[in-house]
Amino acid sequence: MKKINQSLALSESKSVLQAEIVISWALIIGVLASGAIAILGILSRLFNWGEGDAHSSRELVAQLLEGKLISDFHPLSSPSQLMEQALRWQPDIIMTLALLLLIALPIFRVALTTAIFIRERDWPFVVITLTVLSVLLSGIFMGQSL
Amino acid sequence: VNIVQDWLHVPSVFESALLLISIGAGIFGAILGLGGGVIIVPVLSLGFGINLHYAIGASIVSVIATSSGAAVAYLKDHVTNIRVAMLLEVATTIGALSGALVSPYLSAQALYLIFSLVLFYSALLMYRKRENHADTHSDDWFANKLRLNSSYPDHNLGKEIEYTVTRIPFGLCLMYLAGIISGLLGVGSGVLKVPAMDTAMRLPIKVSSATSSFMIGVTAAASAGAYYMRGDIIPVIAAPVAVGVLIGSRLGTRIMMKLSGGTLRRIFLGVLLLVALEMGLKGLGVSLR
Repeated sequence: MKKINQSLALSESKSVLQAEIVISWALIIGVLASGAIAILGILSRLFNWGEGDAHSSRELVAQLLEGKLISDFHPLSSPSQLMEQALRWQPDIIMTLALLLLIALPIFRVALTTAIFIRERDWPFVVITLTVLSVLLSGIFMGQSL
Repeated sequence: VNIVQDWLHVPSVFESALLLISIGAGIFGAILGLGGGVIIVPVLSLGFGINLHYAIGASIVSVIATSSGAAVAYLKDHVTNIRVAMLLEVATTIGALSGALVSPYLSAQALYLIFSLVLFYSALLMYRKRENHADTHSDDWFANKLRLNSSYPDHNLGKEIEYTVTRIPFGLCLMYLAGIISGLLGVGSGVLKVPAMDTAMRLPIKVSSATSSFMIGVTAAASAGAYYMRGDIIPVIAAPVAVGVLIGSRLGTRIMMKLSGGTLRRIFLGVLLLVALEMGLKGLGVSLR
């Protein structure tokens, strides 16, 4: 009986493994896309494509190299603002999009893993993955209040 | 030196320099078997003079990039224990979030000191031969209930090795600590995750290190979200660093495969110790320059 249970558990974890491998490939595509967007942003700044902004100046670099904190730097969090500025081709915003995509990838992984465990009707692990997901999302909201 | 300094102030030079240095840091990290973060934070803060919080913010994003890009490899060899990873991520993400929330209240000196200790500890682990603590007969209520016990294929022995998992609460506590260090310093903190699994929870070493690597991206995302919202992730720094470390760690892994690398590793280890020393001195308020 114990043997049967064990092999059942193993075959089930195999299907979870297969799904995780698919997710990981999706993540690689995400990393490559993010890298491509980041390189586009970096090149845009190097060759002054698109709209310059306050943060691309020599002054900013000087402040950064002196170890100063940039007091007037506010991260964009509203998707509409991000899209609007990206469409005006602001290099900094293009780089920001790349960085946000990277940060979103593991969150995406945990969300999909939750879906896998729901499909498997593995309720303890549904609770576990949902907890991880809520910690990840709360990080975003808690960071805002700092 | 002054000419170089002036030149570095030109924005395009600044960005290109960050990109190149990050490629170097990625190679260095991969050859030592450490993540890029452990190397890039000292390079940005001590080398470039960038504020430590910005260095940490850039590093944590590069950690996500390298680990998300490498996860397939850890899964394909069937060594990673996904269930253990998910369970422990509860502790590492809460830890990472705690670390990210506490870090603005810590002085740069305190952060330098903690960083230096982590570097010395990483270097120490490279010298120590790791023993396998794997257990096959523990009968842990939690592990049975959550079906954490598993097996992995050992290619040398040509068979599946079964193992059991124990002392889960202890493992969770150590993982919470690893998460705090990751969130506080912007590193993957694999050096702390592996012992939590192999020493505390008695997982085989191979399973511990693969599972630890698999978990790093999710842990890093917990603090990266908070760092982004706080404004510690400056695109001009973080984007070239992420791209550079990603390219560098791929190159480093290639180099490692071609090269037995005893001498190179020893030289790099020496450099790592010097960096640890300088960070420690900076933490104690002693400046060498």
